[in-house]
Order: sequence, then structure tokens, then C-alpha cells
Amino acid sequence: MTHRILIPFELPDARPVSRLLIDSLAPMDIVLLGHYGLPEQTPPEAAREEFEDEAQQELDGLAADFTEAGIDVTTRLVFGKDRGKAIDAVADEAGCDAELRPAPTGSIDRVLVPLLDTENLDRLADFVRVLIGESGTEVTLFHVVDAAAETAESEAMLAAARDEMIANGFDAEAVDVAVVEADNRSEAILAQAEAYDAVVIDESHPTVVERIVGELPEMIAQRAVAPVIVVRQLD
Amino acid sequence: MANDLQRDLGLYTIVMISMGAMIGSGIFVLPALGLKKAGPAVVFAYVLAGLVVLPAALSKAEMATAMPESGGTYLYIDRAMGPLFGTVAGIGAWFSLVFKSSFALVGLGAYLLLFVNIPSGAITFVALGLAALIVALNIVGTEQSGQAQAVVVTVVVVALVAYVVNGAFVLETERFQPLVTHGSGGVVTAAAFVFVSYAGVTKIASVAEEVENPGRNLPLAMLGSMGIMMVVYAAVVATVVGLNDPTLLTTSGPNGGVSLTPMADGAGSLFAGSGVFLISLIAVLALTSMANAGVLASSRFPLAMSRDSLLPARFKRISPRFKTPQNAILLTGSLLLVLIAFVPVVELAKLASAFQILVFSIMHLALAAFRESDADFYQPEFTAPGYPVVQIVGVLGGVVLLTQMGLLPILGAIGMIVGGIGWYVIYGRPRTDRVGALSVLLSGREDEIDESDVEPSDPPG
Repeated sequence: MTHRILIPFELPDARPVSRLLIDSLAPMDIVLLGHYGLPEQTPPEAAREEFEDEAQQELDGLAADFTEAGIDVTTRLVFGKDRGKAIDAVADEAGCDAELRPAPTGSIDRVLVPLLDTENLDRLADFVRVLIGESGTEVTLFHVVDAAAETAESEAMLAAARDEMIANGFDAEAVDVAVVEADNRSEAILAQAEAYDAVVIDESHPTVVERIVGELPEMIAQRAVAPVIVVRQLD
Repeated sequence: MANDLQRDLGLYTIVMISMGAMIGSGIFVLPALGLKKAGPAVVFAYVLAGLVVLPAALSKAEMATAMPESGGTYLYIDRAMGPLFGTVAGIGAWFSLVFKSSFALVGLGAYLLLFVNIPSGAITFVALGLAALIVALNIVGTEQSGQAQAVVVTVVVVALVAYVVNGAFVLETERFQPLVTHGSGGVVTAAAFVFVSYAGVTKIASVAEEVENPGRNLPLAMLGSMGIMMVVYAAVVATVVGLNDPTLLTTSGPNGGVSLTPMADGAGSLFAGSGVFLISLIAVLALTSMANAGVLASSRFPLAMSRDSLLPARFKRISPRFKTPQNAILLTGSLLLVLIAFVPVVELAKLASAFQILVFSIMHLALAAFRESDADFYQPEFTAPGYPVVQIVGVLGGVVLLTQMGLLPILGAIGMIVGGIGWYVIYGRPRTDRVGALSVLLSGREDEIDESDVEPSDPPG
């Protein structure tokens, strides 16, 4: 099945996606979302009237980067106040099963896959496969536990997940596992991500704290400077 | 293309939005004024006022689900009854909301002065400073934060309940004797003044398009939030009456007028002696939030009218730098500063109420125009119950209140109508050929109503 990924841009003056990342995404259908963020003072339709032309132009320019790489994209332009909401709404409407949080990147040699459980493993692995292509990229399945007592159980889960991925064609040399004990799962994932070039993670419903300090994928993209593919939950 | 709004606001959230928009000057500033008009029976005035606002909330909510564009009251009336009524209602609603904000700011200044020892003559300057600050904030632009709003509302409601519970042990019941000092007319007059305490419920209409299951949740949220606030207001006002010497309440304000800080006045004996401080803090929080919301919401009127060519195009311009409707906010801010500087606050409360009553009445007529004309584009997702009885009660109730307010507010309302008509004749009419659903209705029902007759001339966002 072909995956469809949503790539959001914050207009105006959005940062373009690197050519390398564009090339790695090539096997997927791509939807570009230009989100023009507004303060609460401004009704979206008034801003659209004023800025639509230049915003569409900028979005077309961003799309041209993909077209030059031989990839067809569709674009959507949204004027709104809540970026997360707009991303979810467009992803739903356009039938995207993943969202990208872009970040500058060189070649993608190491991919981190933080797991909560193995429920969605097939789909996560699919995206990892797309990212690494034919290259001998290293993949780490990662799990955070709160107490040392849970480590053994966690290792068993990851080992099973690893076996499954190898059975599905991943190179045994390329897939390893890591378990870390930490109180704060998000912080642990952020720290681990520093050493990786890209992250593939399950969509999770943000906690109250995340709503305030920023959602995890966004933070990984910014602080660990690694692009993140968020695999959406299918209802 | 749609703006991709999702229907994800539940009942609890919209009740909070509504309550947040209601709590403000109505309860923190106006009780003393109401007491002067009605005696201890002011408690009933707060209940009566709520009953008069409810029909307006229902009418507005229905129209909001049919026209999910910002512009609010102005837009509904314009599309229903044409640009002449649109101009009158737009200017009236704008003035009313700016008045209300200026009143909140003066009250805010009065509460702030309880913290520091500055002569009460300085209230105007404090209010002007705060107004300038809020206008500047709105021009620079602020992030939308539903969570912060919910926290403020919760804190304020908890504080109000604590005030009532604590006050119940201290208040003197003989202060309710005699209960009615100015007859039933006094209660109606007081209701006309404190009427603005509930106007916030119509804020629900501005988020109507984001409400899940609107047919059920909109009326429930309106009835629920107004029911809660009627009880809260009545209890708080009763506590204010029971805690204070009535002479003090009606004479301790600036220049010997009514007190602008009635909730703090008798609070010295509450919360182990820190009552004045705590209540003032809560008042400052609530009034700041109200003044800010007022500036934000009122700047939408010049913006929407400018987009419909009823005001010069510069007022619809969005600043490329701040991405806010800078000119519309500046125009609104200028009126706010002028009002605070040159108009006495008590008159403000009256005029704000009078214009609001006027606009609510026109709004009921607008709903009737939509319903009767059967315009194709009018497909509300929520149908207000009780039509047309509710609307008739709303209009009649408004007229009764208006007649109880004295000459000045009535003259003000008439002036507003004449001014609005004048502006439309001179500026608006040469620039627009829109007609409302009403004139289509009047020109003969046998004609099919064409959507292009009632839609704005510019493409909808």
C-alpha cells in the first residue's frame, strides 16, 4: 500500500525541506500544507483576502522543490490560529497516514523508532523502510521504562519486534534495540534522538504538559534536529 | 476552501467560554449602581436581566450556525435586513462593546487603586494607561489560548463562591429590610443597567461553527451558563448587599458617586482579613480579561463593515508585520481612550446597555426576516426553539427595559440610529448594491430568491 504523508510548512518565510529528505520521501504520496498562522485578533477570511496570493506563491515555490525531484505533490493552504488542529484536519481530509515534522538533515544513516508497544509495528517499519531505502541504515527500536524491574519485559518486547522486522526483510545487522530507564519518557526520547538522523514515532494524544511545552515530535525536530515521521493512528 | 475548522468544542468548553465572557464589570462594578436604583431587590434585577438576554442568545446562535463567518451581529443583520440596518447595528454593536470595555477598564482602575494609595481622581489616568496597554497588545497580536481562559474562569468562579459562602456567616440580614425600596419599577430600571452582565452569553455564537452536535449543545450551553450565572450573580449581589452599609455603597465612589468596587468594600472581614486584597486581585484578573476580549471582539465590527464597503478599505487591511487588523484595532482603541477620558462612567453603563438592547432587538427582527424569506443560503444547523414567541418576548422585553433607563440612553439610541442612517446614506449607499433577505421578501414572494442577491459582493473567505 502506498503511504501518504503530510508535510506542514509554517508560512510566511517557511524553511524549505532539504533535497536529501525530499528524495527519501519520494516513494510516498505527498501533500504539502501551507499553514499561515494568525493571532487571535485576525479572522482567517480577512487574512486570506489579504495574503492569499503571496502565500500561495510561496507554497508553489516549496512544491517546485518536489517537482524538480520528480515527485508529484498536492498542496493545501490554510489560514488559521491552531497549527496542530489544521494539520490534523487536513491530514484527515486528504487521507494521510503520516505527518512529517521537517528538520535540516544530512544523509539518513541512523533511524530511531521509539515504541510504546508493538501494536503499530508493521506500519512504523514500513515508514522506516521508505526512509532508509537500499542503504545500510541502522535502525534502533527504543523503549523507555520507569522502573528497572520492567527492563526484562521491555527487552523481550523489543526483541520480538526486532525478529518480526527481520522476518519482514530487514537486515539483521541493521536493527538493534535499546531500553532506557527514566522517569520522563519524552526527555529520554529527546536525549536519545540527539544521536540519530531521523525518528519514526507513533502518534500519541498529547498530555496536558505537552500541550503547554510543545508536542514531542515538534520538540524532537527542533532540539535534536532530526526530521520526525509521525505515524497517525487509524480509527 | 474551508478553513478546516473541526467541530470539537464540547458542552463543558462552551459553557466555560460563555461564563468567561459574562463575568466582568457586571458583577464587580455594577451592584452598587443597581442597589441605588432598586434597593436590596437588585438581586431580582440580576435574575430579570438574564431572562431578557436569553432570547437574544438563542436568536444569535441560530444565525451563527447559518453564517459561519466572523462579523457576528453586524453580519447577520446586514444579510437579513440589508446594509442600512447593517450599518446601524454594526455601529451600535461596536459602540456598545467599546463602552462596555471602557467601563470594565475604569472599574479595573478603581480596584487597582485599592492596592496602592493614590487619590481616586487618578482612576481616569490609570484606566487610560491600561487601555493603551491593551490596545498595543492587540495590535501586536496574541496567541489564542483556550486553556488560559478556562483557568481564569475557574479561578474567578471559585473565588465568587468562596466570597458568598464566607460572606453568608458575616452578613447582616436586617440590611434586606425593606427589600424593595423603589417599587417594581426600580427593579426593572436596575435590570436595564445590569443587563450587560449577561451579554457575554452571545459569545457562544462566535464559536458556534466549532461546536459538536450544535443542535443539542448550543441551547444547553446557553441555558446552562446563564442558569449558573443567574444563581452566582444573585448570591454574590445578595452578599454584597448584606455585607455593606447601603449609604457607603452608593456614595463612596469617585466624586461621591456610587462605589465602583462594591465587592471589595465589605470584604475586609472575609478570608481572615485578607478579603479586600483577594477580591481585588480576582476583580483585576476578571476585568483585564474582559477588557481585552472586548477590544478584540469590537475591532471585528469595523473590519467586517470595511470588507462590505460600508467603511473605508483601510479598516480591513491586515498588517503584514503583526498580521493583525491594525487599523480596525486603532480605530476601536481611539474610541476607547476618548470615552474613558471624556465621558463619565455611569453614563457609560447606561449607554452600553441601551445600544446593546437596541442591537438585540434588531437581531430578533433579522432572525424573523431570514425565517420568513426562506432564503436559499440560510440553512442553520441549529434552529432556535420557540419561534416566534421567544423573539417577540425578546423585542418587547428590550423595549420595556429601554423605556426604564431615563432620557439620555433613549436619546443616545435614537442618535445612534440617526447617525447610522446618515453614514449609510452618505458613504455606504453609493458603494454597495447588496440587499438583505428582507427586501427580497418585501419585493414579492413569488420571485425565487437568488443567492447572489443576499451574498456579499466580495467572494466569501
